[in-house]
Parts: sequence; structure tokens; C-alpha cells
Amino acid sequence: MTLADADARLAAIDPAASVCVSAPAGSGKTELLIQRFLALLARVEHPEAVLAITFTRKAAAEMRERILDALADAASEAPVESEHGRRTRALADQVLARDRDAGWGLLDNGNRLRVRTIDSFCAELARQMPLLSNLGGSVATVDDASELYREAAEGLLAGLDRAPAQNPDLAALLAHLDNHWERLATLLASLLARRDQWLSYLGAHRDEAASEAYLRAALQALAGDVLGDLAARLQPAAATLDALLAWRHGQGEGDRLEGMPPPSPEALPAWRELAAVLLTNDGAWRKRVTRAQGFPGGGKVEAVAAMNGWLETVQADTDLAEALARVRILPSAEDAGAWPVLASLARLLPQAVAQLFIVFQRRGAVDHSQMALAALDALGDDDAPTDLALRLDYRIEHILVDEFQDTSIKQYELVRRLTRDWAEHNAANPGAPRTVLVVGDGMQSIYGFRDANVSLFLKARDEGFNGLRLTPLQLASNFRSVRPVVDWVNDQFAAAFPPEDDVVAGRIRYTPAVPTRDGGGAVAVHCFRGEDGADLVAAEADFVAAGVLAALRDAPGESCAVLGRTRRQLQPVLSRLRSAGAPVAAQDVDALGSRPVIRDLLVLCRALADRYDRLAWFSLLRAPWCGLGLADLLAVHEATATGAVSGWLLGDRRAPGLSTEGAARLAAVAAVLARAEATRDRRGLRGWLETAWLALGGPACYPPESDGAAAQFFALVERADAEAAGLDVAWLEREVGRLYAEPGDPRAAVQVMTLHKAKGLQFDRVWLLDIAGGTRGDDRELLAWDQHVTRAGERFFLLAAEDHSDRRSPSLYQYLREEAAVKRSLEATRLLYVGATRAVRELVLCARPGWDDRRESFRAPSSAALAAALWPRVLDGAVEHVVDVTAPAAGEGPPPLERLAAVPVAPEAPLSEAPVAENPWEAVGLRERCIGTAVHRVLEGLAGRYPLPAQCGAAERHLATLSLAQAGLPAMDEAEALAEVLEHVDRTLADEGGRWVLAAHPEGATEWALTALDDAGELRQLVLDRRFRDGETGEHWIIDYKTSRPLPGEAPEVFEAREAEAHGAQLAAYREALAAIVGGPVRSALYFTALGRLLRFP
Amino acid sequence: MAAKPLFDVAPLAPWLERGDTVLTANHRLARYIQRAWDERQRAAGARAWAAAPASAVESWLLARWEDAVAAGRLPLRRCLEPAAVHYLWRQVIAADDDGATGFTLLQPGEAARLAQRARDTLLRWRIDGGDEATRQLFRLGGDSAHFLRWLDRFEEELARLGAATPADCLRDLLEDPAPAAGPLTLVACHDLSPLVDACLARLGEPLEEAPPAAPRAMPEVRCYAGQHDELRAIADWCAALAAARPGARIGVVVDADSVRRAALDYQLRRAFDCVDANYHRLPVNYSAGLTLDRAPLVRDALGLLALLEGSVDLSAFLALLRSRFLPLPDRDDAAMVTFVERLRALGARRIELGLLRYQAGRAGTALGQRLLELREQTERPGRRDGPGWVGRFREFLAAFGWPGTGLDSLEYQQYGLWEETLGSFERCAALGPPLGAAEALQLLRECLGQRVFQPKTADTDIQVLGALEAAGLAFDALWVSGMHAGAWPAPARPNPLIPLSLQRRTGMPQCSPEGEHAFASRLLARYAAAVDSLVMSTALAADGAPLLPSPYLGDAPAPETAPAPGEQAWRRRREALELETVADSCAPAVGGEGVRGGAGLLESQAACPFRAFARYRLRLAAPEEPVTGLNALERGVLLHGALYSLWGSLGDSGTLAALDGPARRRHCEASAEAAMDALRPERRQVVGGACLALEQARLADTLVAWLDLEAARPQSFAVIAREEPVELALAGLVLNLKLDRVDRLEDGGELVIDYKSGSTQLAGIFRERIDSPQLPLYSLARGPALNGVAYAQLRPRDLRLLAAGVGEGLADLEKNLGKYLAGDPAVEDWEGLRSAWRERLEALAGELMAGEAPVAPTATACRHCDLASLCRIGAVEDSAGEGVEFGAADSALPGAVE
Ligand code: SF4
Repeated sequence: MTLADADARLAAIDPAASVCVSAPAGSGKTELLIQRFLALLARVEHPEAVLAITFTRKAAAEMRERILDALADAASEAPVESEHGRRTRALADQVLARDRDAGWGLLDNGNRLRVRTIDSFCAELARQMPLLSNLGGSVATVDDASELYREAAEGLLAGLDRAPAQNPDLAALLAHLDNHWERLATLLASLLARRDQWLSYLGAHRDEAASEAYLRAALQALAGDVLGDLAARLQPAAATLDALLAWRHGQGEGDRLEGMPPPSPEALPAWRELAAVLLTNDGAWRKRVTRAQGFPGGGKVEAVAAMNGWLETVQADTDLAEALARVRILPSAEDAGAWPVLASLARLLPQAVAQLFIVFQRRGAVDHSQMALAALDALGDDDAPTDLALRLDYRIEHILVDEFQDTSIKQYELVRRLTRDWAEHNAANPGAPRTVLVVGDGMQSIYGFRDANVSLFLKARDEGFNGLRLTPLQLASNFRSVRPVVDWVNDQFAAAFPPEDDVVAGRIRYTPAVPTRDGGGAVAVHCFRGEDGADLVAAEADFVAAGVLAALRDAPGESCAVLGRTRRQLQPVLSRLRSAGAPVAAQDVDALGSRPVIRDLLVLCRALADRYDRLAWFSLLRAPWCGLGLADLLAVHEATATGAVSGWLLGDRRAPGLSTEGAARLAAVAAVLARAEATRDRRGLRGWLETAWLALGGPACYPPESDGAAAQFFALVERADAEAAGLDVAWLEREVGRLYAEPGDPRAAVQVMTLHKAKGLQFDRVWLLDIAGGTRGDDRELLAWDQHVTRAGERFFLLAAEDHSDRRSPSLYQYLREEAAVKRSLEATRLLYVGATRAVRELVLCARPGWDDRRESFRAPSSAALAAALWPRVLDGAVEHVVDVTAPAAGEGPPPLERLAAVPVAPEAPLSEAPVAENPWEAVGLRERCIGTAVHRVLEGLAGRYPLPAQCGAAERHLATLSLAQAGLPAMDEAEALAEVLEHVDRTLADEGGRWVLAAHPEGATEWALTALDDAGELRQLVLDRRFRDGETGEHWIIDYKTSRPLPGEAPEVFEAREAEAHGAQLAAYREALAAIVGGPVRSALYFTALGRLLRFP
Repeated sequence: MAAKPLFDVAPLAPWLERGDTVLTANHRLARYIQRAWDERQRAAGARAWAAAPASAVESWLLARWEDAVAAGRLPLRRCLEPAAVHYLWRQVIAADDDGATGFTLLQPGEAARLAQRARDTLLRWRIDGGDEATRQLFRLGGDSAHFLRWLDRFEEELARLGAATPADCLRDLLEDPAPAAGPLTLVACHDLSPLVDACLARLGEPLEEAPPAAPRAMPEVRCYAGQHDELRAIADWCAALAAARPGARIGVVVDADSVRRAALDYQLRRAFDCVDANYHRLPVNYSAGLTLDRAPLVRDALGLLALLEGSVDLSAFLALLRSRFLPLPDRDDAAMVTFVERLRALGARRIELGLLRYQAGRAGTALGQRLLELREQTERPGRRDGPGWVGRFREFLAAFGWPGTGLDSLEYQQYGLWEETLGSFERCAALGPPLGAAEALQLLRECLGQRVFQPKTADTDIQVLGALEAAGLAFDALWVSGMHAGAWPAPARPNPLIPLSLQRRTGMPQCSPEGEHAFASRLLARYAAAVDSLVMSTALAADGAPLLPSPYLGDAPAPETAPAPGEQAWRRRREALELETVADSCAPAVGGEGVRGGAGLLESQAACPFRAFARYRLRLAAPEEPVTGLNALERGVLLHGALYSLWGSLGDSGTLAALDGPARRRHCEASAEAAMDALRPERRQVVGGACLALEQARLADTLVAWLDLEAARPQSFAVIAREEPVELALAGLVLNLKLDRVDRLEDGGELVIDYKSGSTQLAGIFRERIDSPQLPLYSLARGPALNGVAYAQLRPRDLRLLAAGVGEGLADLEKNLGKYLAGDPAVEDWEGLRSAWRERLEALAGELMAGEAPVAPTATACRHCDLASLCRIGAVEDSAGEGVEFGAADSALPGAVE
């Protein structure tokens, strides 16, 4: 069988061509990427010349694995079956041959395959160019930098501490926000989070006037485009309307509207008037016009009748009405409104960025955006491009980018800068062109809310990069789903998607898929309704769970997935499946933060971290491990009304009115906490906390299922310790919010996940939850923004602050909000497409739409619902479930207090650490130690020298300085100490005994290390300052240098005797050891350098 | 019984017998050779013997350099310690930063590290930075061109200071005119640099290499689902081995990641039962220690010293208050509690030292006393040199009593190392100009951050080390973990400051994938040659993304099954203890102690009786969090104050009507200004003048708009009471109320008005259980003349007077009343409502007095309640985190770490 899109598939792996592949769901995109990667590898100098960029780390790992597998299979000549398998094999064989020739060792070093996420690639670029990227060197990236943005915003606000005049822009914004500093901080933080969007427009590189001019130009361009579109759509009726409006003007109506207005921003007021004439307040077409609209005289007047007639013809075109209604809120550059605010904001943002840089510097961490900006910096702007050939370890010659429909502007710009001179290169080297492949599927663009911008995909497809054109290729074959599913999807979505691609509006049309997979299958839609109070959620969950369980029974080998938009939606089905014992995996669905075990652990942390957090301490006493009753809590309150609870608890714990049982419970807790206090900072944080928790009886307070949550919490604590956060409760609380229950076996037959997570996966059977549900909240956010690409291809970033406007006045804020709502609605349709195309053979869609009693039909869902654009066709053949109202559970009383029945006995164990008695540091004397070391070192240098100098020379001085410094003597003491060292040495050199010790002798050695067994048979490491054999007597000598001095007023003899006593045993050990080696008698002596005295031992 | 040596010394015996110097790649190996030699001698029956002359190459060569310097054969240069070299680079880079280069580095410290390493590599690979052709190569690159400029300055600095880095010393050593050459034997000295090679070639006569051993261990491969599982398995394996073969030498190779090292440490402690009681008896030795700045003792010293910077982070300061090393005798006393409360009430994230001192002193804390004593020092720290700062640090810490008493031996060692590091700080500081407080602290932190604390422990059977350190050690069993494809072989990491072509040409380290592969292979071969049994393992996933096994693992086996979460000890505890449930929703009735409060008290009781109990009888609330600008409460207070003053001056509607626009504005402005005094001075200081000025202007604007609304009221009125305090007794509960305002209307009737700054609804006063009891309470406090109650909602752009009641010409009020009463069969009219209010409020008060405190919140009560940890209500509607937009906050970020 030849595929319908066989040519496109072949073209996509042509290593000499740059292509843009549109690859709908199930079209075998990954295999294609692998094949192209292999095809390119076979032609390059270094494997690093081919760069593939994937959307997630997981995708990167999988792609690398599949390439390596293909190579390994080729190397082992594993059998291949399929058509595309043979193609892959052929390509892999070529790569292996290349690998052998060039000695790449790919199979031994898979790292050489440059498969990266955008973030890791940016980090790599920045690392290779630490200075050009302005980073300075490696720096940590944090996934969630909201705290840093917040800190920067607050830093900026903190600068405004004396008078508004310090920063008029900031003051203006604050005034606009009712002097609500927290709100402004939030707003600035959210803007900083998305600065990659606006930085290039408003960033530090532009001056204020330019920023303003920019904003004005943007508004102008926007109005021009919108009106142009509108005029084009009204074109068929233009002549009619023009005449009618002229008539109206002739009646003395409409000072601005003389006829059909031109599509220029200046005519905006006329357009608004037109909208007022034709549309009702609610934005629907008028049924008829009257005097109020400037059409007096009723239906008998010809013009009025004509107008009414025309209105009748357009009634059905609600799209057009919507578009016309939009001019009412479309702002012109002159619409003051929030304009000054915007200008202030534009001037303020560069300051906020500067603050953020300071925060990054202070924290030594950056966000992913900064890393991307650093990478872009490193690549240089177009005026001063960086010559990558000299910079990167290997030149990049081919780029593959996956999931390009979800690309963001920074990613787009990165590819653009990487390919800067490729078109010229290719013109000069037609035999060895550099190539780009981008692959994506506009229909699956679902990350708009994260600033992914599907129009960039269309732009790349239509324009390429820097003159490097991409051949557009469209895949159509669907290898995943069986025909009935493909047919249903084609049928439903062809109508739901916009009819045409539109780069500016980010609209994508539908491309039908061609089924290639045989087999039976089905699509079913189920609707749930019931009276007020009927639990539709439960009904839906029951239905889905039952369906899944039945499928598991009937077709055990097949995979099932339950997909929903939010985690919360998935929760009811998940718990039903879990309690039915189904083999289910759910990644990041079950949030752990609200589980009792976690909340109590946090209470424990709070109390241990802060004795002044009275609420935490009382919570600790109320938690199940202590479970103090209300009366006892009151007694504790009375007893601790002024001091900290901890002091009282670890102290006498006297409290009038405390029950005996309460006292016993408190005593048990106190014992645990006292121990924790004693071992604070002396244990690893995790072990310390866990010990306390165990001793309190923590694990017994919760069912065994909680252990997973607790284990995760402790793993978090481990991280806190390792990352130096320590017992930082705010950090823990934040991180706890990100904890999810372990997903379970990833290969489980049933997967429960969000639609976003399901992208790229396939399952035999798929259930989609609540496709008619809207999304929560339509709060007036403080800001609205969007990127706008004009018809002329110019790109603008539009930004508007909440301007307190109503919904019908011209306002950029309103306009952008509406735009965003439209985009969200389009994206919702695409999200449903993603969900529907996960199914191989069976797709079940569930909906809980509102029920209209009067019309006896389901209400259309909100525009944000997944199925909004499919409505009402999606209901064709739907199964209806009518749900009864169930009585709410009989009035439960307040929750009782749950606690350990018996006071837990803490497993007692003695503390293992004994405090050190006193502070010997004073006694040791760093300076004395250093001097001693230096004297030894200088003497060591002199020993055996011939001739021996009479006193210290420059070399000795050097050496003394050197060793003083290296011994750690503070520089301030150096001069004095040096003099002292030299004095010791000079004294030794001046002394006859000293000179004898230092003189050249046979078998002389200094700092002589030896090992000996002591009486107990233990090994002892000894170091002899000086040893030699006296050439005259033949005696072996051991000399130990001493830099000590007599105490004040101590007679030299007394001092010597004392020292001899102190060191006698040691010298005896030395003698014994040396004797064992040399096999003869050994003598020893102390040499006092401070005195220039040799003390021989008898 | 002595432990089995970690080095097989037999092949080296001929050299060691002769006393030839044996050189190793690192100190660790040298030490093991010495120990092995000792064991061998002992076994041979000797009583004493010369120690094996084994040393690490680098330090041995540096000692030769010292010799040559001492002998006057080489010029004296001060050999700088790493911290000092780093500091010097920092200075060079900072000086350049200000210059014409135009870039500001985010991490100058990292740049210094890179530069330091680059210069070191150049020296060791014997590249002459002065050679013109080489310089040209540097100039071509962007980063390397900057580096070249830094390099020149650095050389100048070194020359000026007469200083050198260790690599400089080795280069000098090559110039030694009369090197004392002798026999040298190299053991496991792979990958030495050309500079070291050259030195050895001059000094070694002959220079020999010890023969490598043949591989003997057959590696066993294990895979795990996650990294925690892997670490856990390692710990269990160690414990099992140690139990089965006491004295066996066990090695574990882990990467340097601190999180994984911490996790392994815990797992080992768990496996060897050393989590708590036997904490110091863990038979494990770690090659990598903690950097000193992380040691609690030092961390807290740094926290204290941070006060010298003039302001402190509130949370950091609070963390300091729990330090064991900061003796605070009054830690649990009322004074401290008050102090901390006041500190929090400031609402500032960072607190000026002056304010801190004032508050600490005012509360009468010991801390305040000390801060006062140190006032002079902290106020004008000025610029000083190293010794000056060290003196100041010591004084400062001593004044606070740091490090306290009762240190254990580990802390003791840390204290010693701290003292040493102060010396190192001084030596660094001496390289530059005098430092300001912030710079000095920064340098101190850096010095501490480079100082590694290695506890002095006995030689233990189990060693946890890095990949390189483990090479060549003769373990009975070695486990190499973390062998995923991304790490084995490691990816190439060329130095970005040196032109790549140069690195490749001269074979500098880490610059090519081929080199890294060869390196990894050699390492594995050396493991296999030295140990009896070898385990290699990897996890198959980390942080949600899959990890590929290293190619060295061959066909990796299926992952071992992970044990159930939770520890044995947890399960034991669970078996030993039982849970019970007791009804406990009634506290003792309010007795003589009474309970203080106003309308809020009954509001709480209505919303959730437990909350009223906890808030008003236990007086509990979450600690105050810092806010930026004024908080909601303050804004409300200011608004109330401004209205108070406004009506004080206006009096009645007649006066208002007589004023023209500008005059009204003047009144409003004056009232706004007067209201600002209500703010506490500390808060004024924290919030700052700009915020106050803006707030005052905003208040005035609000008042102007509000007067428009008041002027349009249908009836004339006179304000007869403002902020009037009233005591009201209900069922034995005495409430202290303050009536915002009472108007007397034309018909003689009264209207009670409550000001609200946010959005409000009247519905709350008409419920069976009254959610908003203020107005009903106020109504009880007034006599029969009261005709209505009203909220004055002063929300920006949404100003309203919401009123209900009866009276002539008050159709609106009656309409409202009628509307709300319609849903309440028990009440017919205004009088009925007033008596219903009394009954209902008395019932609430009665509940409260009786001590009824069940956890029974209304549907919305928990949303803004901070007591959830105490009342233990089940999962509160967790609005946070769940899909703000598309509910997909959990999904993968574009290209992000999943
Ligand atoms: S969180 Fe809810 S249940 Fe708990 S005290 Fe507050 S209002 Fe009552």
C-alpha cells in the first residue's frame, strides 16, 4: 500500500532540503524525525553538527534513545519488518559506516548526539560563552522563579520611600492602582515572568521616547489591521451601505459617518458610529433601524426599508457582528484612557528588569528566560553577530525542531540567530547545504497560555529563517486510530476549526487525516443532566469508572486512559478506580499538600523553626500525637499568656486546671521536643525531624497509605538540607504545594492524566471528561497583553493595564482581553482535538452541559469549553443520562478529635555527644604553632648544609616567611613572628650544640617519618625532627627541636627538667623505634631553639 | 584488629624497600600506600620501620620548589592559597568591569573561577601567554579575548605582590639550576599535565611507573526505577555486606550532587541504625566534606555578622534566634515574645538595624542590651583592612556570646577551622584595598565557602567517594552508582576562555568527547583491576525524565522492584500505637477571665465557633507576614479616621450643601491629612513617605467622591455620633462596640452607618445565623428612634450607601427591608427584625459563653482563616495551584524540565 503522503515523507528526510512539516496526530512524526536525524548524521563531519530541539526533557531522552536503538539494531543486524523500519535501517547503516570511518564511537558515547530541550541548549550556549552571555559562568536555573520576580518588584518599590517625586512613573501607577502596593508588586512580578515577550521592545536598549513612540505605532497598526479586515469582510455590501449611510447623513445625522468609512485608524470614530447604527447594545445585529439610529420614517421610507432588508440578510452572520462590535472597544492611539499609565509602565519595566538582574546576582540563580536571553546575547544581535564557528565546540550545521507549533518567541529567535548566514552559505555551497527542519502541528498547539505562539509556526512555514526558505510538507496518514475514530474526528473538527489559516490571529484550519489502520472501533458521546442538586460529577465519574473496569475485564491487554482538563476533574474517577483496585497510574494528579500527614509535619516544622509561632505550638499540641482537649488548651493558654510555649513546655509545665491526662500527654511531647532541642543542628535535618516525628508517634496517626506522602515530605526535607535552605518553613510550604502522590506503575493498564500530559501518547481506549465545562473565573486581571503581527509582517507587543473601563468603551485593555478570550476558545478546540486523537479504537466523550428546561434541550457551553466549537453537532447520537437527586448525607456533627489513644513512649536513647570541656583554642596559640612550624622548617633547610652559615641569610628569611604564611599565620602578626623565628634560628646557629645538630653527618635526615608498633601492638606514626649518626662516636642520635621557653621567672634548669619530663616518654619511643631499625644503641636530645641549648638525654 | 589495607602494596615492594620516592595522584592514595606498607612490615614481624616514602605528586613537587627557594636557587615568591588566587581574580575582573568593556557579569565570582582555572590549565599545559601567535588566537575569540586582557592584568598583579600560584611555582621549579634528582616511582599517575611531567622528568632519575594490575572483577549491573531507590539499595547492600563480612572494605562511588549525597547519607544511617542515637558511630567515611559556611556554628556566626551590613532580612533574623550558638537567657520570656511580635508587626521584609535595636531595647530584651553596646560599631563600620575586620568580627561575635558553651567535638573542630579561615581571610584582604562591611562579609563568606570541613574520624570500613578518588583502591567490593549515559562517559566540557583549537591541539582535559570516553574507560578498568567485586548501577529516571543506562552497562537489566514507601520503623510504630476519637467540641464555659472583643467576636462565632474560641479565648493567630505598602486593616483605619474628621468639621448635610467644590475638596484634604496621624510611627517609617503621600491623596479623592453621594441623599441629616464607644451586654457577654456613625434624619429617626472599604452586601444581616453582626449589634445599642441601618461602601469607583429600615421618605430603605424580609417567615417588619436580632445575637453570645466551639464553619468561612492547622478541618478548598487558566499548570513547560 502506498501512503497518500508518501512523497511528503520522503521529502521530509531529504538531508539537502530545509522543510517545514505539518504532522497531525498519529502521523508518525517521531519516526520521521529519527530518520532525518540519521540521514543528516551520515553527511556531517562531527555528530555534534546536527542539533535537535525537543519540547521536554522526556522527549529529548526518548529521541536519543530511539536513535541509539536504531544504530544498535543496525549494528547487531536485528531483523526489520515494516516499510519505514527498513528505511530507518538503511539510514542507520550509513551512519554506522560514517561512524567507523570517522571514529566517532557513537554507540559508546551517546552524549555526542546533540538532542536538547530549548532550555538545556540555551544553557549550553551560555556555558560555552560565559562572558558574551553576560552570565560570567555556570549559574543555577530555577523552574519557578516567581519568588525572584516578586523580590525584584519589591526592590523597585522599596526605592520609592520618601516622596512620590522620586519615581513619578511608579507613583502614577500606584495612584492608578489605588495605592495598592501589593497589587503593583504582583503586577510587576507577573510582567517580569514574561519579559522575554516584551524585553526586546521595551527593554533597556530603548529610550523613553522610543518606547512611547513604539506603543503609539503599535496601536495605530492594530487599528489599521482590524479595520482593514473588517472593511474587507463588508466589501460585498460596501456599495449598498455606502448609499444608505449617505442618505442617513443627508438626513442631518451622523457628523462622523458620511458613508462607508475608510479602513484607516483615523476613521475609527466613524466605524464606531457604524457599529452603533447596525448593532444593538449587546452586539447583535439590529432587527430594524429607527429614528434613534438616524433612520426616521419607518418601513415605508425606501432607505429605511433597504437598510432593514440588508440587516435581515446578515442576521445569521454572527461572526461579522462580533467583528463589527469589536471596533467599539478598539482603541486608537489618541484614546487617552489608560495611556499615561501605559507610558509609565513602559518606562518602569526597564527599571524592573535591572532590579531583577540584581536579584539574580544576589541569589546566584536565574530563570529560564534569563538563560535564553543570555544565549541570545551570546549569539549577538544582527549588528554584531557572534562568529559561532570560533565559539562553539562544534559548528552546528543542521537543526531539527520538534513541536514547533508550541514555540515561543525566544525559541524562534534562537533558531533565527543560529541560522543567520545559512542562506548565503547554501548559495555558495549547493553541494553541502545547511538545513533546518521544523515539525509541528498547528492543530495541536495547546500552550498558548504559556506564551507559545502558533503564528510563529505559520510564519516559519511561510517565510523561513533569514532567507532560508522551508519547503512546506503536509502529512496526512494516521497510523494510530482506526477508521471510525478518524472519520468522526475529521467530521467534527473540520467544521470546528477556522476555515483558513491566519498568521495574525493565530488561527489554524483543519487538515483531514487519512486512516491507514484497519479494525473496528467507535466514538460515543454521553451527556449527563439532572435536577438542581443532582450530583452530575459523581454520575460522570461512576459511568467512566464502570466503563474502564469493564474494558479491563473484556480486553485485558489493552490500554485505557482517562483524560481531563484539570487535575481536580480527574480526582473523582481516580479515587473510584483506586478503590476498585484497578491497575492505575496517575502522574501529578493527587496533590499532597492538603493531606493531614503533610499538614501535621509542617506544623512540627513550624514549631521547631520558630518558638514564637504560638499558633504552630498550639497546633502541635492539638495534633493527633498529643491531642490536647479544648479545656487543656485553655489551661495552657492561661499558663503561657506572656512567655513562649516552648519554654513552659520544656520547663515546669505548671498550669492550673490542666487535666491529669493532658499533663501526661504534654510530658510525652515535651520529652521528644527536649531531645530535638538538644540535637538541633547536630543531625542531618531529615533524620532529626523524622526522629522527632517517630518519637511523637507520627506514623501511627495516619493510615498506611499516608506513608508515601510522608516519604516524599522527608525527601523534600533532605533537599532543603542539601540546598542550604535548612529549616526554612516558607520554602517547605512552597515546595509542599508541588508534591503529588507517586504516579504508580507507569506501565499500568489505566492512565489518568491531564490532556496536556497526554500529548504525544496513545491508548486503545480513551475517556474524555466534561467536554462542555467552562473554565473558572473571568477576573479582571491587572494586565492584558498580546503579540501582534501586522499584515505587513511587523511585530508588536501590546500591553495594557486594567483601566477600570467598562465593557463597551474603547480600551486597549478590553480589546486585548477579548482577543485573549477568542484565542483561548480556539485553543480549547485544539485541546479537545489532542484528546480525541489519543484513541486507537474507542473514544468516549462525556459532557455535563446545562439543561434548558424551557427548550427541553442542552444549553450551549461557554466559549471556553473544549467542545464549544463542536456544539451542537457533537450531540448527534449522544446518549443521555438523567441523574436523580440523592439526599445529602444525614447531618453530620462536627468532626471529632482524633488522637493517639495512649501517650506514646518515646524510644529513649542516650545522647551520644558529650560537650567538650573547655576551650583549648586559647591555650594552643595559633601564633606559637606557626612559629614552631617555621623554625622547624628553616632548621630542616639548614640541616646538613655545608658550610653552615653563621646566621640566617635571605634564603632562611624567605623560607620562614613562606612557612609562616603557609601555616596560616594572620598577616598582621607576620613581621613580628618572622623576627622571632629568625631569632630562634640565629641562636641555634650561634650555639655549638646547635651547629653540631645541623652539621652534615652520615645517615643524616630531617623530618624523618617512621612507623613503629607500640606496646599495645598498635601502629604509631612518628616523625623525627633530626637524626644522624655521629661520625666520630658512631652513635645514632635523635634530636627533637623545641621552641618553648621558660615561664617567667623560671630557672633554666627547672625548665629543662620540666621539658625532659614532659617529652621523655616520647623520646624513649623514638629511640626504641630507631633502634629497632638500625639495630644498635640510639641516643636522643632535646634542642631548645629559643635558648640555644642542647639537652642530651643520658 | 587493623583494617585491611586499601592498596595492594606487593608490586611496589622493590621500590619501597629501596626507599625510593613513590608518587601518587592524590594524598588519599599516598596515605593508603603508607598504611598498606605498615601492615606488610608488621606482618613481616618488624617492630619499627621507615615510613613508606609515598606522597602526592603535586605537594611533593611544591616541597621541592620550597627547597630550591630555601637554597636560594629560585626566587622567593609567596605561593597563594586558592582563596587568595580567587580573590585576586575577582579584583582583576571587577576593575575591568568598570572599564570600557560594557558588560556586567551576573556571576563575577564564577568568571573568576573560570579564569583561575584557565590560567592554571595554560600554565600546566605550558602555553606561553606572552607568545604572539597564541595571543592572536585568543584575540579571535570573544570570551578568550576578554580573558587575555584579564590575564595580562593578573600577571601584573602577581608581579606587584611578588606572589605566585602553585602552577607558577612548578614552572619556577623547572628553572631550578641544580635540581636534586633521585629515583621516582609513579603510581596510578594518569593524566598528569605536561608541566608536572616535565618537572618529574627533571627530578626523576630514573623515573619509573609502577606496573598496572590486570582486571579481575567482573562487574555486576543493576538498574533502579528512581534515584532514591538506587541509593536505598546501596545502603542496604553496604549494611548486608558489613554484617556478613566484618572488616570488609567497601567503596561507594557517587557523583558530587549534594542532594543525592544527603539522601545517601540518610539511607546509610537508616541501614546502620545511626539516624539518631548512634549518630556519630556511622562506619562510613566521606571523601567530600561540608563547606564550612554551611556548618551550623559558622552559618550562625555569619548570620550575626550580617547585622554589620546595617539591615537584616526578617526571616533570617528570626532563624538566628533559634541558634544554639547564640546564648539568649531570656529566649522564652515575655520580653522576647513581645519583641518578636512587634518586629513582625512592622510588616517589613528587611529591617533597619536601628529599628531592630530600638524594638529589642524597648521590649527590654538581653539582645537589645547587646545591640545597644555594639551601637558604635554597627553604626559606622567604615572601611578597614583584614586585621581590622577580623578584630571587629571577633569582638562582635564575642559580644553576643557566640559560640556559646557545650560544643561537641565536631563543633569544636569547626570552630578551629573557623579560626584558621579568619587567617585566610586576612591574607586575602591584604591583596586589595581596605574593605567596607558588605565587601568584607562577602569575602569572608567566600573564604568559608572554599574551606571544606572534613570531620576527623577513624579509618572506617565504608568509603563514599568520587569517581576519580576511588580509582586504584583495593576494595573488597565497590559500587559505582549513577552510571547513566549522560555521565559515563561525561560530556566534554572545554574551558570557554581558552580557544578550542588550542585546547584540542594540546590535549587539554575535558575538551573532547573522545577524550572523555577514553578517560571513563580507563577509570573503569582501574576499578576492575583493584577490587574483588564491582557493582555498577543507574537509575532509569530522574526528576520525571528518563535516564538512559551508560553504554558501559551493556544490556541493562530490568529495574529492581522498589520497596513500599515508608520505613520499617514507621510500621513498627503504627503497630504499637492506636488511634481514638473523642468528642471535644465544647470548651469550659467562659468564667471570670471573661472574653474581650467587639462585633468581630460574634462574627467569628457565627462563621465558625471554633474560630471564635481559638481567636478570642486562646488569642491565636498566624504570625504576621510582611506586606509591601499599607495593609488592608490600616487602609480601613485611615479611611475611618478621615471620615471621622470630615464629619467632625462638616456636622450635617446643610453645611455640606453650602460648600462649593473647592471648599469641599479643602475639607476632604484636611481630613485625609488629619487621619494619617493614626498610623504608628514605626509603620510610617517602614512604609515610607511616598506611600503615605499617595494614600493621603487617594483618601482625599475618595472623600470628595463620597461627599457627592452624601449630598445627593434624599433627606437632610445631621451626624450625631462618630466612633462612639458603646458597651453592650448580651447573655452575659460584654461587647465593646464602636459605632462608626449615627445620623439623625429629617423626621427625627436615626440611621446607624458602618463604613466599609470593600464590597459589601446587606444580606449578611438578615440571616438566621447573622454573618455580619455589626449593624444588628449597633441597632441594639441605640434606642427606639433608630429607623435604619446602613453600610457606607467606599470602594473606589463603586461608592454606595446600602441601607435598610423604615421612615418617611425613605422608600429605598423600606424597599430593601421588604426585599430581604421576604425570605424570612419569622420576621415581619422593622420592629420584628430588631427583636429577632436581639434573640439571634443573644443566642450566639450564649453559645460562646457556654464554650461551644465545634469546628463548624459556614461555606466560606475557611477561605480567609489562618487557623486550619489548629482546627484540623479536612482539605480546605485548595484554590491555590489548580489551573488558574486552563488547569494545566501541571503540564510540561515548553522545553522545560518536566
Ligand atoms: S479554618 Fe475553617 S474550620 Fe478552621 S477555624 Fe477557621 S473557619 Fe473554622
